[in-house]
Amino acid sequence: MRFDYFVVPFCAGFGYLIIVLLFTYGRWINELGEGAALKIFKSLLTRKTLLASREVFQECLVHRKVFRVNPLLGYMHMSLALGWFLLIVIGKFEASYFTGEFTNEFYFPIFFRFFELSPHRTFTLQFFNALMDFLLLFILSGVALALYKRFKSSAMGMKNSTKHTSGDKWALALLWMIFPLRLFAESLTAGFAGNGSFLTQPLGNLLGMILPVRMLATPVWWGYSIVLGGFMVALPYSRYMHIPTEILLIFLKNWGIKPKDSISGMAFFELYSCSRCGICIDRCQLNPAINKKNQMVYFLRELRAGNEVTQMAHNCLLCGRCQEICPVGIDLTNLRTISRKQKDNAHIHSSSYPSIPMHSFSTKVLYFAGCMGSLTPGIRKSMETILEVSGEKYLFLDKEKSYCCGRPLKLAGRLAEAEKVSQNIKEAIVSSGANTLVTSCPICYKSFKDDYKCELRVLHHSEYLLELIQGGMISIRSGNKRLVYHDPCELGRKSGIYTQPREILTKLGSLTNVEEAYGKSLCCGGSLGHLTISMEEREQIQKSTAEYLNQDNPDCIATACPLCKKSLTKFSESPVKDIAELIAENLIKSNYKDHKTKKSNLAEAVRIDT
Amino acid sequence: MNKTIVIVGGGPAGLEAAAALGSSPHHVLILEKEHNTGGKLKNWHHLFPNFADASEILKSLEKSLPLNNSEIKYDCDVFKMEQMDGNLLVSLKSGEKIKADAVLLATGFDLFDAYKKEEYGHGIYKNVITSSELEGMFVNNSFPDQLKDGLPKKIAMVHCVGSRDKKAGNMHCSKLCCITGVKQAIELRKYLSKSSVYNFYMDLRMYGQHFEELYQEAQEDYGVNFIRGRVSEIAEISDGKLQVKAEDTLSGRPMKMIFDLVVLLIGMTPATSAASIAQSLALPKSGSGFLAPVHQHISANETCIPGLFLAGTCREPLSLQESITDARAAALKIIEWLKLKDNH
Amino acid sequence: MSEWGFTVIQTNQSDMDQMDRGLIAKIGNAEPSIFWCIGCGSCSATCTAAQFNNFSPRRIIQAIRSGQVKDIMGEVNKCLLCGKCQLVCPRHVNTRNILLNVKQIMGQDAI
Repeated sequence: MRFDYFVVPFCAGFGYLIIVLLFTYGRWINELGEGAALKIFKSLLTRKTLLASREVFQECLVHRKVFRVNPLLGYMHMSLALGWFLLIVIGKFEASYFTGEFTNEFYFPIFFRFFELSPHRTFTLQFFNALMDFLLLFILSGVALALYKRFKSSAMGMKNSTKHTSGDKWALALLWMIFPLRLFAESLTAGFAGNGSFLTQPLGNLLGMILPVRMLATPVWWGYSIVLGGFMVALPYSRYMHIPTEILLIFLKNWGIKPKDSISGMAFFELYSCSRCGICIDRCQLNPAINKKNQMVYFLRELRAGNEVTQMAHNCLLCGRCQEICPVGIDLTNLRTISRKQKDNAHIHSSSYPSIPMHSFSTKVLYFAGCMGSLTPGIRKSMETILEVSGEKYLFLDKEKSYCCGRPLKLAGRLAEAEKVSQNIKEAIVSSGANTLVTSCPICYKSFKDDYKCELRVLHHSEYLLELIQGGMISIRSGNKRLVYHDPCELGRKSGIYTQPREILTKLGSLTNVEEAYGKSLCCGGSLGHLTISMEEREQIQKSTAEYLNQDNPDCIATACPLCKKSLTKFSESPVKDIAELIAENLIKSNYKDHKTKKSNLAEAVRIDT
Repeated sequence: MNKTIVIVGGGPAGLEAAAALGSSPHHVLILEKEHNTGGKLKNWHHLFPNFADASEILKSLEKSLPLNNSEIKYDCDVFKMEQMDGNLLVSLKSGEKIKADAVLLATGFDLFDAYKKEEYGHGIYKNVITSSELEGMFVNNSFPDQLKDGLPKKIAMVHCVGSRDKKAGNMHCSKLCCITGVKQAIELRKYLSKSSVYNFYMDLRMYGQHFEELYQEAQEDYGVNFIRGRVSEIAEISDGKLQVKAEDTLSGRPMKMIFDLVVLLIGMTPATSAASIAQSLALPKSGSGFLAPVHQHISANETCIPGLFLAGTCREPLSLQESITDARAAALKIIEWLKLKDNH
Repeated sequence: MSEWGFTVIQTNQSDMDQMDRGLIAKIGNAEPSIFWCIGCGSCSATCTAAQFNNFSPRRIIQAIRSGQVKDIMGEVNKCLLCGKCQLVCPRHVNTRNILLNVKQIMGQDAI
């Protein structure tokens, strides 16, 4: 057996890590909830596992999403992750090839050059040797970049980088020491044994000229082992817990496990998968001075540490910009939302909110303007005009009274009450017998589509209006106005509706693109998700977003949300209009009369009170 | 020595200042951006609190002009001013430049753009009009037919539209809308005898002579209803009928009510025509964007630019009476200043 | 003998010298905009919840400011958090945060 006492620290650290991981993951998996085990079992031998494996390779090793943020930053992450991974795997092959047996002492490949001193190699072994040196160099370049990033994060496209805790800094120091120590250990050994390759051998020779390499080698191998062991002991308590956890998270996600509405099970997998890379920090639109150390990376850190986070949980727009860029793909806004949940449920009130009066209608289409719509009559009126011209029979559900879809309560973490409020509207929708529900409000849309689970088509008006145009139900004049489109958070990032509004706008005028669009779109500042922000701070966001959208002096800023419209109007140079308003302005009403005589007075006439 | 005094704006304040400067030996030049003088007074029917005929007042303001020493230039857009050797160089959009020994800014105010309060539906619903549009209807006798069918009508007067409203970006009180609302409510009751009128207010600020009396007259003789609650939104229900929502704060319950006509009592905002002038001279502004004098109490007509004076509503919301008094005060200050300038 | 109809029980006057300033002190600190309210009622007028129950943001603010906070928790919980009150408020009062603070402060006191 190949053994030296210096491997003990490494083995101890490794053993400790395995025990802690097994215990921790066991507990979390246990908390995944009913049906999770069955779900995993069913998905285990399907394509989902293959897709997950691919994602693990792309995100945990190559760090594709980080590359998209900044290539240099991506390279830094990749060199460390992929480099280290290959160092372990290729090292294992090298050791197996050398011994001719697949299994050997598990520490042997790691300390291969200590145990295998012979300089006379076959070509294959020399190749392995060179490859291992190359990988070490690859990793060291990453460490050098990481060091550089500590001093100048802007070089990698980050205005702000994470301010780490002292614990994380220690773990970081250990991680950074691993690879230089390995380099020196291998070089010192190569200095007297000649078993190095293109990197370690010349360095070893050089060191041999000035140092007693034979005497120094073993202490440095000790150091290497201690640092490795130390790092593994520190790993579960530091941000590096993300290394093993992220892999499991990706598999669990692909197998269809969803986070519950409490911090347990899957939420822990998400929490511990945060590498605290800090990419989310620059994405946050809240004033950095006021919002100090409150961005997602800090929020998750506090949450993971089990600290009181109520205040932090509320100080967030829930716009989802950070989530969009998070390289790990953590459902960040959900974690914030569920952390808002009140700890004591003693005060949950049982108000009853009368529902929409139930009718059976002979209409196929229900229109729901949304409560915010009562403050933007321009949108409501335009929708009424368009629907009337299209000849579609419809019922305007909330024409005279406003109803709440329940999403604001949900965003505030009051899920039980949200459920209760939505129940009433859901019943009215279901009992109507309609097959299509159209809403002008992206917040209601998200709610109807994802939470209500009704058996009818739920469309945002931008989808529905495009259908009307494509189906020839309405026709519009094309113009040459220069338009800029603002993606509402709840419609774009939260619901994935990006193309339909743009398709309509290209028919109405020429659409100019801005950089912060689609998933990167700015929050208008009106976000319902933030309960504590002052109106003055909101206005700062509204102003900067409006100014951003006005940068090319468009003729009109188009959006598709009453709240965005309201938020942007005050500070916008050019008029802010909803897509429905733009269509209503450019509607060709030539065949309007035919419809009107045939289908008069719309649904009002066919309403049967029950 | 004869000097040139430029007055920017031929509204009531500008006209009155020119008349007051008429007895001085100086040359007075009024630069008016429209085809005729009179400003917003042209479009006003009767004035509070005594229902004085606006056209009569305008006639009396205009009748003394032009005097021997004065001249009015129409369609002049002043966009820039510079200080030059103790004088002011006034640049017009046409390219013309005028050297002035003293300039009086009487640029007036803009009416608040009611569309900015989208929830009130102005520009969206045809029966939501502004107080200024209502005056126009009285001036031109152009009431919409549906109001003249002899049937009882319900009319809402919405106070504080675009005033005292951080959401509209105007913190200030325009101070004249309260009494205008009362005056117009009475006029509507007189014109449409079967109508009932409801004024929705936050506070009624009856600060002037005979204002409170008019308020009581509205209650006593015309049965105008006053509801203490700010309107939150207006929605068209059907056939142009409008549903107004407010809270009747005195009974503590939210309310809705259907109206045939809604009149928005729009406030006064800083004139956009003065913005570029103010910018070119780096003239300080008050919180709401009106031009700021050196001292609100003792130098209300003087600015920090030597030779530049303010009169009327360019510096704060004022009634017609106050504007006219203010213009005369400014004229006196200008004469003093030119004397002082001569002595140097 | 007939009874006199005006039985004297407790006074109906609110004694402003004896008012409970505890809650307003705490909330005023956390959300100073509570002091900016001028009671115009636009919030209650637009309120989605107030169409159906006797919830009134204006009245809650007034109650907190005048120390009448006995049944305030039940009132606060009627809010649907739709945020329209803040969109119409002419004084930028952050109504939802006031209610949230009531919940947090009263919730803590209850424990």
